[in-house]
Amino acid sequence: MKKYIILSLVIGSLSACFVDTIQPDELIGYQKKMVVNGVFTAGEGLAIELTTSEASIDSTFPRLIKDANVTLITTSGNVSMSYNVLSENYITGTALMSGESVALKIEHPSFPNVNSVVRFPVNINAYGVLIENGGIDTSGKKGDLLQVTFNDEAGKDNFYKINVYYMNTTLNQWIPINFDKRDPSLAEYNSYLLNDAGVLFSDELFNGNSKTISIVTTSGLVSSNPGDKYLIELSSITKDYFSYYRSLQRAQDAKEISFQGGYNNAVVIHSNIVNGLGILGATTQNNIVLK
Amino acid sequence: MRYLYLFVFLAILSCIANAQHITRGKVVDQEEHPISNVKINEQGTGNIAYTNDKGEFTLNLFGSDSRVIFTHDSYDTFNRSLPFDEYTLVFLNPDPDANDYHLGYLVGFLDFKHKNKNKNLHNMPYFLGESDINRQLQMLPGIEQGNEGYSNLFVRGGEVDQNLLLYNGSPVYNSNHLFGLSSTFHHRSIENTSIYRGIAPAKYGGRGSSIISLESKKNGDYSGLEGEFEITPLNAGIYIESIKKDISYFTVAARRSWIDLLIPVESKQNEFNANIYDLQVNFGKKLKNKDAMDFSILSTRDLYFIAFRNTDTTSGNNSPVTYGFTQKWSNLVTSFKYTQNISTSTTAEHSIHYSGYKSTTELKQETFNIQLTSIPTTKRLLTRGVRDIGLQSNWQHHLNNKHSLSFGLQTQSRLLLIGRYDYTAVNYPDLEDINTVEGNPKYELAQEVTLYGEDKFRFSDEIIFDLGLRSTYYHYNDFNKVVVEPRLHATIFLENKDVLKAGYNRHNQFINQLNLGQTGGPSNLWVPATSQIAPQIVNTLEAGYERKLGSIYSASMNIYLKTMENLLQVTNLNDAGDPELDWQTSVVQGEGRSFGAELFLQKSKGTFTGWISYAYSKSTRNFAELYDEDFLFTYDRPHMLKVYANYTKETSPWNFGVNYIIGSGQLFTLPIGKFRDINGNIQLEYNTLNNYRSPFYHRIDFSLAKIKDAYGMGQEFRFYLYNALGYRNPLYVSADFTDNTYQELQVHRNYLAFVPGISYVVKF
Repeated sequence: MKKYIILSLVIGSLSACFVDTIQPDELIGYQKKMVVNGVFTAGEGLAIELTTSEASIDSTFPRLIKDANVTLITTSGNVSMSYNVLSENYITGTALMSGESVALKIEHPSFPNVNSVVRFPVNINAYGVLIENGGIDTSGKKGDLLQVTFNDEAGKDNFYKINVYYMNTTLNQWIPINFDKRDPSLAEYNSYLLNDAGVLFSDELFNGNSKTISIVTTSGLVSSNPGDKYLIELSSITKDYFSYYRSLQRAQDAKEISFQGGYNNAVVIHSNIVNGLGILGATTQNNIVLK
Repeated sequence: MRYLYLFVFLAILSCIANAQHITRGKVVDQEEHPISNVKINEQGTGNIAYTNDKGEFTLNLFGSDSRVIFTHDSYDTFNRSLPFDEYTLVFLNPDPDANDYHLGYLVGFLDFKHKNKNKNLHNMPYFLGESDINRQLQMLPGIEQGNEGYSNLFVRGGEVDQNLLLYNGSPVYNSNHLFGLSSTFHHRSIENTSIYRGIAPAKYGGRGSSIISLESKKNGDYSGLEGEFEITPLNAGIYIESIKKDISYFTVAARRSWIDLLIPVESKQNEFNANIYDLQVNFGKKLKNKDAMDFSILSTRDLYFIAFRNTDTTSGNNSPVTYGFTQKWSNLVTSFKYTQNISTSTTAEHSIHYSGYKSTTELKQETFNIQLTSIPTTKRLLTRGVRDIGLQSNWQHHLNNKHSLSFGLQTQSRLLLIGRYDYTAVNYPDLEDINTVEGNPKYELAQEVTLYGEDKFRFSDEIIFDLGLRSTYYHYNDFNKVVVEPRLHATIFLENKDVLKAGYNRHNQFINQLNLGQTGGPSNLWVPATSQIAPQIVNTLEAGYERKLGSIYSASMNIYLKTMENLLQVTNLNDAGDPELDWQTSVVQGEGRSFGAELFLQKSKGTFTGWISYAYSKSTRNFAELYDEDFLFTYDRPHMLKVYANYTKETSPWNFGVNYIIGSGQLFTLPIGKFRDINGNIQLEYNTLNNYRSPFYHRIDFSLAKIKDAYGMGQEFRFYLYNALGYRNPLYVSADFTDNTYQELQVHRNYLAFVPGISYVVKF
């Protein structure tokens, strides 16, 4: 008898819950956009990737757009970017300098025109010092102490990206280091770790001052290297670039969350592309090789 | 110096002499409902006072042989003499055609005893047959349930944690059973529910949206013992009251789920168990000196346990392993209040309360090995909670016929357990037992000390001002802050007896509830304002217009504007809920804004009673870290029309009630597109947050009560049907890829329809 009572109550409750599949108008009427992915580095040739966005309820993947008119508008004139089959990017050999602004304009008959403006950050003139066995690594042993110093521009919010590599003499190439982030500006709350082991951070804690970041590497990592030991890439980056990566990081975190509903697992990826999606970032990079 | 002493002595004597020229009392109708704004005039003089919202009055400068005239447009004029220094109950006869709608209270205030009375709420259709206080509030304008089916309260675009829920004056930190499907407060155990929807007296504060006060029964129309027993598919409950009119009361309300009692004990220990209970005990007494004592206890608990058995193949001996998950949460709220009549013009209420809320989640693994004498067991217990200890001394002083002062001191010591993990591993062969604690093992103190003062100023026959200030000092670790909040309100009686009201309030909120995935859920985390997380600030501006329509209808219209600063939003649910990480790194702060207009029409007399309300509102949020621009609040519902009607007749064997709601659909966030990011990964495109509004919300619920007497006791069979026409109002809308190629998204909608309920009630 008890079983029947419980069973009938459970069935009674479950029979009131229903599920159906819907196709909201907001999703059906989706208009495709151009997606720009590009980060310009001061003093180097420029490249962007151009793809389509697709409706979420379509089975098609985003695809490359190869026949768009891509123009850069600089202070010294317009520069056309052409599609390169090998890199699958639009490229130009024109190099722009730190402090310079550039506008990107892309036209394609099947999409709304998109544009974006970016200004290269000013050079922060970073320099570095290597003190062999000058620090204690995470296992308590003596490790090399790397110090990189730069001047933060006062009166504005500045953003940075730092990558540290060591020279692997066997492979003869720079290998990224996942370094210990002891500096408060690199602490988890203030920074974002990228897939290439780079770290994005802001000048929130040192605005307008000279800043030195200290990094201790694992003991014995490059003790046998005769020449180059470490490479520090310190880039001053645009705010949009910082916001873009921060939103990607949040989107990654949200994917691990099973909760549905609300907007806890919905992350709007930051974009500075007008009428489109993606990012046009700019960096002014300082490469410091420590021997 | 002697002259100074003489002056002070004479001044005191003068005060005492003045104090003797006072009479106090309460004006009520024949059912002892208070009548507000009764003009009380000492005959032949210009000495006039008015009753307040509770019907109480104090009249100064009163001659010993004077007669006092009581005048109110809905009642017969009455005159009598009144004794000095006595508290007199004065009954007025209603004009047969008069409307007894209570025009008093601050703008936005609603309750079910004075402002919205005689609605037979026991006949309201209730979800699953549980007569829930929150379901009653959800039918009022400007108060929404949030997610479909839930018992949560979102007041005028505010968050759930912005509601201060008071049970007999003590705060309750989680008033939910069943993960938010039902509240812990049964209709029968609460005599009156009142809500300030933004504008509140200076006595109340600390939350941004509303003050919801639940009061148990403390007096009755007559002395005696009575009660009722009720059984529903979920619970069995009993309510007993023993009342000596105007002398003492004792009430007990208890509910417990009963389905689990049918499950064999062994199964409950090893497989599945779920039970809930709540208990309310209240006792009070009037002392010989007219002082009063009130004592209140509330205890609630939810317990859910599930376990499953597997075989551990890794150890090579195929040992059976049991994995258990237990979730439990409970409230313990106690309070003691002493009401003191200090003089004819001064009263005070002194109270102390304790409100404890605790939530635990336990994961347990037991490995059975026949070769071992004891069972190797590992356990991880997550504990969170709040312990709130409050002291209050609230005073009221009648200064003269125009000024009535309220002032007081309140302290609130909140001990917050952000989350601690207790790890244990015992009885493992060749391993020492492990007992470690991680996370935040100790309760941390957040302290609030508040001083307030308010003057109810009868500026003229037509205008009343309520002018108050509330100041709070807050301390948590190294964070200290002092805030001052204005409380301004004006009531204007128009020539046609309609009432116009307007008010402005500022509320600072030093405690937040992090929503870790389910509004009203037990795991949501109470956290304090800190040096990094600024307290919430809510400014509310509201105006209202109230009118009696004929003898049985009344109408009101309210408009409001609310700004909210320093709202909290969790950005990473996993990290925010992990006590080993700093929750402050997983939240962002932002702003909100809401405005709206509400129309409310009531019918309070006859066999058919009820109300119709319409609310227009807009509520937005801005979290710069989440999205560059304003976006709509998740529970923004621009248009909501709600109707509650019931047919209730004592002599009829059948009574019924109906809820009807039609309005804007709920918002959800759906990805509209997909694109490649700079790393070559596919990302979902959201044009904004809360970008999809489901089709309009439409719901009709019915209740039907069959009443009969048997064995000298009243019996009622109540039948309920929630969403009787099966409208597809989504519980939630989710978007999932059809397969792991992450190409095609499907959108699913879950909804509730035809939810039945039944209850059987015996009254004795």
